[in-house]
Amino acid sequence: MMTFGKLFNLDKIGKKFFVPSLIFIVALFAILTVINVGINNALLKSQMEKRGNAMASYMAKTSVFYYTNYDLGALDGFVQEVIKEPDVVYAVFYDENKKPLTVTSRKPANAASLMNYNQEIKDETGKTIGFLSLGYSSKAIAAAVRKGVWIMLLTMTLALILLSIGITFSVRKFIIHPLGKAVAVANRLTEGDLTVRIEAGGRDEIGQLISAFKDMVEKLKIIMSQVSSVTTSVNASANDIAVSVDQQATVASQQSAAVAEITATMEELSTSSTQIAEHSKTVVDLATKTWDNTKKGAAAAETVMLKMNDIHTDSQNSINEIVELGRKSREISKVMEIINTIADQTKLIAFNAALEASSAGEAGKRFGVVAVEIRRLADSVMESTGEIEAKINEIQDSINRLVIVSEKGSKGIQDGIEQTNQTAGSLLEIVEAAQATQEAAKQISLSTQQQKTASSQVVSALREIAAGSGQTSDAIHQISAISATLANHSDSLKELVNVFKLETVK
Amino acid sequence: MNRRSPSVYATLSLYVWAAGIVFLFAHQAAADPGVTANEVVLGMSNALSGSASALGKGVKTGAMVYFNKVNAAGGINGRKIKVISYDDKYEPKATVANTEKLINEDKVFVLFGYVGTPTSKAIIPLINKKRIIFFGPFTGAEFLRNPINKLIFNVRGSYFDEAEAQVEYLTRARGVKKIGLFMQKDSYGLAVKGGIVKALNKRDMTIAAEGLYERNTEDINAGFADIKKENPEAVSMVGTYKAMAAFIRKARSEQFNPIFLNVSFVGTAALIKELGAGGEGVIISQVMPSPQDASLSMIKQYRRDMKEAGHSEFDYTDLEGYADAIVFVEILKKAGKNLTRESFTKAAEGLDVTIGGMKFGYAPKNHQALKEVYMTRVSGSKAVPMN
Repeated sequence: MMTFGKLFNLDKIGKKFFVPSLIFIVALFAILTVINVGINNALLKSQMEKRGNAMASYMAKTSVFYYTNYDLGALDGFVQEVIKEPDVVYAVFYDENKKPLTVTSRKPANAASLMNYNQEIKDETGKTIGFLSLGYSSKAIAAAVRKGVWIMLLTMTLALILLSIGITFSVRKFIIHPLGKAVAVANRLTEGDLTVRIEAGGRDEIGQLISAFKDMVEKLKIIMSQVSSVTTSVNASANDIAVSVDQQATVASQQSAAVAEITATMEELSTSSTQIAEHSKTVVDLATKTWDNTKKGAAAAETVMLKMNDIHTDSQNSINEIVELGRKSREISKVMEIINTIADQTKLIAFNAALEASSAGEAGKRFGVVAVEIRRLADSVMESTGEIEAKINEIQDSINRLVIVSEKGSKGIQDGIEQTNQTAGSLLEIVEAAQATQEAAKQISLSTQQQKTASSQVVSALREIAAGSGQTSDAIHQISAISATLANHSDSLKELVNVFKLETVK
Repeated sequence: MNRRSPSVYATLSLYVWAAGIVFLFAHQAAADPGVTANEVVLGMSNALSGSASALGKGVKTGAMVYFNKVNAAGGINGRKIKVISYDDKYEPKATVANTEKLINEDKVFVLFGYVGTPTSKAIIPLINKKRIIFFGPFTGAEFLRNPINKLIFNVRGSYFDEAEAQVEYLTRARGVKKIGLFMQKDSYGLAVKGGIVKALNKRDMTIAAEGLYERNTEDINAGFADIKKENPEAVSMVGTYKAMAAFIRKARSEQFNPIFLNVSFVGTAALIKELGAGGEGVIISQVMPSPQDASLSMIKQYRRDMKEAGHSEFDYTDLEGYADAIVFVEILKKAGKNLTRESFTKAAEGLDVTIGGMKFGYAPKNHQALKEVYMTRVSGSKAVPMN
């Protein structure tokens, strides 16, 4: 069953052609056979009818003589002759009363199934003198028809076989084989081998196909080589484009960056201008303030001078006090010495206490501890006194220094007063300067305002440029992307083109 | 002076001699087969065995009695009559084979004394082809008489005549209206039937019942039933003695007793012998006068010659054979020394003799020597002529 189904799997032209045409031919032959048989049957039947009628009428006519001569033997001889024919089932001559005259044959009971021919036998006067009944079997027809059918079937089968062989052969030779060649060529073409050689086909359709293939291959070769070269240049150009676009992109980026920098710078500038403006404002304020302050300062200088004088006085007073202080501290020192002496004595006492304590033993432990503590106290007093001493020394030094300094200071103050005078003078200069500064600062403020405006404008312009160059950048990126795609495509194309082998490799 | 050279003369005379010799030989060869200076050979094929053997034997016996007598007297025109006889058992195929032998091998002059209708019919093509004379067949078949075949010479009367006589007897003498026919299923039966039909048609009658049986058998039952079914008053029977006897016996046994009629071919003596007492009243039509009727000089002659030859029984069959021989011999006499088929034919067609009170005559348009039909009835185991 599988193979039967496989038979109908029309995967080959041979089968595609063969199986349907086989079916068609078989059907055709069957129809032809049927028709033929039918016609034969009809023909045979009519032949038989003719024959039967002819025989009957012949016999009837020739029997007249024998009827008139009562030669029943001759009539029976006729019958015997006729019966010899295998198709004839019966033949009987009857008298005018339908009683059989002949003996060799009788009409059978099943005569209805036969082809019966009845003739009236008339003498010259037209009087009926007898009858003839002839019966033919249709078995012969049937047999002949069957035979005919068999022959037909046989010849049809033979013809079928021959036809099949012929068709198969010619289909193979004239269609499948050339097609196979064409398919082989096409396969090589699919592999891209355009170097395939094709012999020119015949003048039939397949020959035309092969010729068309040949032309196609030629044209393809031309086209593909053109395409190849074009692709190469396209590819190069695409790459160039890509490169330049990249460059463009870089430039644009740089530009953009530069613009951004400029913008930033401009913004900084603007900011700094603002700051400058602010600073100059501040300067103005400062200048104003300076002027005010200087004025105040001048006033203050005077005050200072006065105060300086006061100070001088004070300092003189101070010096006196300091000397006093010095002296007092020397007194402290003396005190200190006393303390020290106390401390020392304390220490001795403590030491003695300790000795005593120790010798006191257990009861004197506490006392020893107290003694130790006293000693420590004494030590610390001594330390402290030492420190105080040191401190006093330091104070002494300091006081000394202070005296010096104060003396210096007093000198200094003298200088200071001079300086203050100078300062007052300078201050006045400063006032003037401050005024000028104020003016200048105001100018600066104005200028920087203008600068700020201008730089704002520049900034906005730059922003536009930035935006524009941003767009350009985007565009360039797009172009870059596209050109990258283009380059990819042309690479693919090149790859595709390279599939086709255009020259045979030597 | 003859200017021809002697060598020419020699050649010429040689030619003449050669021609003469050839002519002589040719002339000799022109003499018919079966005829020599002292002999004429006859070929006979008939039923010497089988169910019709009495007929063949009877014909042969009667004929040979006379031929022997003639030969004993020196023959005819210096020629003795020799008969080569074969047995065909009353079967046409054998008849043909025998006849071919007689003609091709034995090279007989004439065919003589054949018995039967189908047997004779079978060899007619051969006769016609070989142009051999067919003399005195023991059959009354119409086709041997009509149309005239130059080669065929009949002696006895025809079945048509017998049939007519029978029907006339039945209708006239017995007032029979319903006549049946029991016949041999072959040309013999049909030959007689034709006569019966003709005779009945003449009287606006038809065959009331018909029964058939196969030649050389006794299977009469089916045919008997067909006849008895119709219960005819008379049954005309066309067959040979054995089968006819069986039929009559059966009929008698079934109390079916129509008038039984037979034709001459049945074999009268044999039939009577078969039937015994049951044969009483059976009618047999004859073409020969009664062999018992010594008043006829032919019969006297016949009986004498038969006795001399050692035969004590006399029957229509051998009487007919005897009569055939007589006619033949008369023609031989008439043909003379130069005996050829042609001379025989000519002699025969001019024959017009009365021998033993019986008139035998042929003419170019008549190849049947006798015409009489005699009705007989079996009575007391004898066939008694009716009037």
